[in-house]
Amino acid sequence: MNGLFRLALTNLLVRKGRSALSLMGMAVAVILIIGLISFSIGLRALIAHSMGEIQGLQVVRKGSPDPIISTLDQNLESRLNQIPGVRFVAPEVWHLPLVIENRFSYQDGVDSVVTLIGVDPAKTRSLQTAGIYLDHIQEGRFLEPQDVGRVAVLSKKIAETYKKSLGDSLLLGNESYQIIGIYHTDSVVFDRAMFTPIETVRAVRSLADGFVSTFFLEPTDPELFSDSAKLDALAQRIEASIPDIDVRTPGEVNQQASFVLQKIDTFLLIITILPLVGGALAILNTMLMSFQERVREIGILKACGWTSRDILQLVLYESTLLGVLGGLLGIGIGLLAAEALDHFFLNLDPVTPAWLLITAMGLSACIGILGGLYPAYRASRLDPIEAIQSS
Amino acid sequence: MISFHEVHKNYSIFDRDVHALRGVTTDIARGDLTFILGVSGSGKSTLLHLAGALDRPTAGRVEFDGRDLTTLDPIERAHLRRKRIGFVFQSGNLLPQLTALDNVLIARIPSGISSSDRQRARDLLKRVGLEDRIHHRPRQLSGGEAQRVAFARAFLGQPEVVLADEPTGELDTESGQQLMTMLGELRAEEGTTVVIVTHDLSLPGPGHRILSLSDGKILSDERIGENGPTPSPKIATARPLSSEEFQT
Ligand SMILES: Nc1ncnc2c1ncn2[C@@H]1O[C@H](COP(=O)(O)OP(=O)(O)OP(=O)(O)O)[C@@H](O)[C@H]1O
Ligand SMILES: [Mg+2]
Repeated sequence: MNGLFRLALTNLLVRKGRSALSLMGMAVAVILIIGLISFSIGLRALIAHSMGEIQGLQVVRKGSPDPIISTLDQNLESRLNQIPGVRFVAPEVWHLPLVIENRFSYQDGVDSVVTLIGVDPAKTRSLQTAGIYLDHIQEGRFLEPQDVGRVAVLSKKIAETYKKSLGDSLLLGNESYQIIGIYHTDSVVFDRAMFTPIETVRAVRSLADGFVSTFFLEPTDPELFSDSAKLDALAQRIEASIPDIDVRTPGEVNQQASFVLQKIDTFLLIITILPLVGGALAILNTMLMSFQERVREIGILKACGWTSRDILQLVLYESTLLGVLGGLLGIGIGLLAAEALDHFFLNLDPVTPAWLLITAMGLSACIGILGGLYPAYRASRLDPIEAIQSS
Repeated sequence: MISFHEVHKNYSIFDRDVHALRGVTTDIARGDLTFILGVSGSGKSTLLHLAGALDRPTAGRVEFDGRDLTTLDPIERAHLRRKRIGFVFQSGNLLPQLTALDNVLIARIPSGISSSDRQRARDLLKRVGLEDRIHHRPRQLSGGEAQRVAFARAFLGQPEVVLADEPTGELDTESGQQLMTMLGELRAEEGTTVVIVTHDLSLPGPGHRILSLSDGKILSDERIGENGPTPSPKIATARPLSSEEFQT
């Protein structure tokens, strides 16, 4: 082992209490950093997972932020179908029931909110991307063209929220829907929906026969599913040929999400700087204290022929060691804590990839170096005579 | 070996200048044992620090083996100290966290300790009578033992000169005598030039030189032969006495 490194380690071990304190400080800093970053990654993954499966285009009335308040007409379907590049169009009528099972749905938080989507079963079934519901049916079946009236396919989450099973009825407003199918996509976006025949929603909302909230359409060329630029071009072409509509692409939705994520990331970055600075200050304090105690020792080392650079290196080794050991401690405690939290409380699925741990180690070393720079500089600049004369 | 030419050293504390050395000119010959005497504040330590390239004169020249120390940069001076000079101070020579052996090897830590270094360190500790204290830490050693470790360290790199600043200053008379005897033996075996600052005139044995300082100047310079004192004042200074010096 390198002699300087060994001496640095010895010096830390001699001042056990103080070293332990700054190690704890470092550990806390690293735990915070890892926690914040893995939270961000988790959030990102969650959103990506939710968004990733929306592949088609969504047509809404121009200026409508949400299909719920969008008003379109059934006769648009044939016009949309005629546009080159459009393979299939499926009309939907959306409804947001406020009272579910005789309770105001918003009252119990976002989990109890259900979006009722009226679909034309035949058309929706022929959408390639409808697979997300069809493939994830866990019990019962998806809607069939012959289904009429208040029959519904809903997500497992909704069923669980309202303690319903297949065959039970769910009360939306004054209307009772019979559950004929339960799906589970595990996506926060899709798992909020309940499907029923389109006529049923029109009747509930007392809408005219031709009313449509939104059209879901798919491109002819399946390659467009994976090429957001081409999909955007198609969307623009549709908007250009039909006035008064907006065509949403999954890219747009993702853009909105990533805009929010960017804000969150900026915020996290700023917060992450705080533990970094805190850790560096803890090490700075420790190293300054030990520097002041060791003035004479440094004088002796210089008298023995140590150069300023040797002294600088020794002090930096010590502070870097503090940083790295604190980082390891933090990672250890952090991983255990994350496991425990995940196990007992949250179901956030915090994501802690290897690169994050490596980055955390790198950051810890940087914090150590940063915190040691000033004390190392002071120590190396010490005048040997004054150092030796100090007692 | 080490020569001083009209060396002045001023320290300024606040706005006051302290003249620690006021024109010292002398030569320390290779192989010599030189004692530096003088009252407190006469400039003994200052002289030693300048001789060991630990400090630079305010005016004048200090030459080490013909090289002007004032022309060396800090790194060169550090290298000179590491390779050719050994220091021993009055107390607190040792790093408390290291064993006697590691303390002896301190100068070698940055460049790496070889097994021959280690062997030499053990050897030296044995020669100063501390073979059973090799792995003791300073607080487990007596004052005299700690000073012996410090001498072992000073001799580790086979330096040309060992400079000791009141090495017996904090020891009782008996330990002091033992330390000086041990130093005498080491010096003889290694053939090292040794300069010792001391208050204690009872220590010097035969065959040495006594340089006494007063108020930053050389007051007297005597060579003591094997057969008792042979006053040879100012011979080594190789320069006529100034009228000022004549008066003091
Ligand atoms: N770093 C310093 N700053 C200011 N003045 C100093 C410094 N070192 C020494 N002096 C002054 O220089 C003069 C000579 O000091 P020096 O240490 O050389 O004396 P000394 O002969 O070794 O004394 P002592 O026997 O007490 O050790 C003294 O007046 C001292 O106060
Ligand atoms: Mg002194």
